[in-house]
Amino acid sequence: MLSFIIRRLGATVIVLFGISVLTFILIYAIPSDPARIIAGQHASLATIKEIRHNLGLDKPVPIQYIDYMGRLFHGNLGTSFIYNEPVTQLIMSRLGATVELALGCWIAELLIGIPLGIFTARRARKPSDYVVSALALIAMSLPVFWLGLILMYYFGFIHPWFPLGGNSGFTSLILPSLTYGVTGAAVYMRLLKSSMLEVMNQDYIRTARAKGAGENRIIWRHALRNALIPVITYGSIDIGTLLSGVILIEATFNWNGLGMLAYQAIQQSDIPVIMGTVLLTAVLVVLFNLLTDIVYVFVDPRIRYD
Amino acid sequence: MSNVLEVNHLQIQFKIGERYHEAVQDVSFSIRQGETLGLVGESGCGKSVTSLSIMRLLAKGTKISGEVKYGDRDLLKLSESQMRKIRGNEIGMIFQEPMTSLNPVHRIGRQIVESLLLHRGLTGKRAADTAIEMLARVGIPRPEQIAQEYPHQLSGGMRQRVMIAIAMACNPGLLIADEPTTALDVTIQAQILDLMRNLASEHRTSILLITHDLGVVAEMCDRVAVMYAGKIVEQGTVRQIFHNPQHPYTKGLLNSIPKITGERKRLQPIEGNVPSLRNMPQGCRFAPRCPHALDKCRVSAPEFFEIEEEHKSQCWLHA
Repeated sequence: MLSFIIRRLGATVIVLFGISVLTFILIYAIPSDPARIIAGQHASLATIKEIRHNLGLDKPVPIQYIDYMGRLFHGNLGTSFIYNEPVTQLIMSRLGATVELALGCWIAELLIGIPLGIFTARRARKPSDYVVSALALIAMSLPVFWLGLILMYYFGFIHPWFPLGGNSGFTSLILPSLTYGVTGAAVYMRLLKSSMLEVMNQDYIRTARAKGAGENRIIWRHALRNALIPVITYGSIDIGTLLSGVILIEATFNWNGLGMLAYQAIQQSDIPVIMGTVLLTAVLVVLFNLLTDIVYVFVDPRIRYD
Repeated sequence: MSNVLEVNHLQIQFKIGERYHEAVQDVSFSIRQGETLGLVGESGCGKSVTSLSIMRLLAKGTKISGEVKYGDRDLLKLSESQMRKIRGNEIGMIFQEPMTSLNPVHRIGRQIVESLLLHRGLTGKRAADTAIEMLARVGIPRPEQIAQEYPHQLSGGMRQRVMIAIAMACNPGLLIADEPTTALDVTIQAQILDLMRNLASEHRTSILLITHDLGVVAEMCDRVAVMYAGKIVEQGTVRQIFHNPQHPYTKGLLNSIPKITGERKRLQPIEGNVPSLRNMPQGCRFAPRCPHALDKCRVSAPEFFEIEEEHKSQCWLHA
């Protein structure tokens, strides 16, 4: 197991290197000039040139990349062109809010999706299954910003139970989480449903019935754990992505998280911030993938990495 | 001796497409206390379906009629919760596929404990100790250690022993064994059969043994019921069936077993194929394959004719 983790972490370094190169190339492929954005519309060419020189943007791209990587190895993600603050500090200041929001959204998805997955599997091909599945499909297709605004209107404005956006404590987390949960839960529901239906046909479920186990016991003790693998796989990719920011939710609910930071950085060609947030996302996705592989071992004893 | 199980006029219909098709028709047999009854027949003749219907484990939407009397209760009339108290407690069951019949994510010990918990209310150390005791009784070496292992760590033979331990944990009055040795290699087969026989005789447990292997029947059973295309065509003691088979199908089955003693002759397989559920022949279901078929056989189905005490056969040739 330990050697597996070490090997995987080694592979992570290669993945991150690839991502950093790709991001760098993509940023320079966009025809925009950060120096011009910083200097403003009416700045003279000389000023722009000076800014460009100060930021090191006049050097050839490969040299800029090498400089960047050199700093990165010392733990320095650079300084934001726009905020003039270290990128690390900017990311850290938004990270708390993003972790809160990501966990809220994720838990909401699981709390809605998993029970519905079990429900529809138990009622497969009955009217209640068709109704719930159709509703889930509709929920999945709802635009997040529309549902968010509707929820805000009814539960923040008409009935002022929850704040109208902003991140100020637990109550402000409810509506954004619910919005994301409703639209995202359908995937969990469908994954778990199909996996449960497959498991329920297995011989060991028949054995459990032959032992005299009741339907609830069969679902919770015998079927669920065997059916969870695809849900865990999707769940870890999902939380990894959520942790790097949920732009639509953040924008709708005026939540100051990493998503908004990245979005603004892209708009303003704030290269160090773009690089910082992209690399953070990559690290999170890779880490959660690794974590998933480790969790598999605890869920299914047949999986071993020796 | 009293009957432990009495199946009367059992009829099972499956829905295929929009129509119901009869998989088992008018099956009747009984098992006495401590007795082993073999239910023999080709694949698809309805043996497993019959055994699953006794446990009421067939998929919902299957039509079952007739009577399955266990003691003085008709199992087909019990509620689902009453039935759960019988499954694994009064009737134990083992299946053909030891490789897939155990839950891969639970430890062996826990899977045995579950029966004890459900039916005996045993928990904690007492349940765990009983489970280990059961493992020892089914001949598993180092039972304490095996109880802590997962199914994938055991061989097929060991897993089938565990299945037997689960089925016998609550000392059932009846053990249904559905092709228990088919998936195992020959040396292990003999061990598993020995084990079943010893455990059953210790507790006077009756066995319904479902198999297509006549060798297993000769070894294990007191009486035999031969099934063909959803019906029992001949019933008798092992001696009667093997020494004096009456039904052409039974004769055909016995002729298709290779013999290692006496003169070597070519095996005589039964010509043709088992009819499918969708188009069962009218009259006797075996008639299209029967070398002795009469005109009558293709029109009306024969009733049982008694050959001697305990021995009866369903064939117009005896009329």
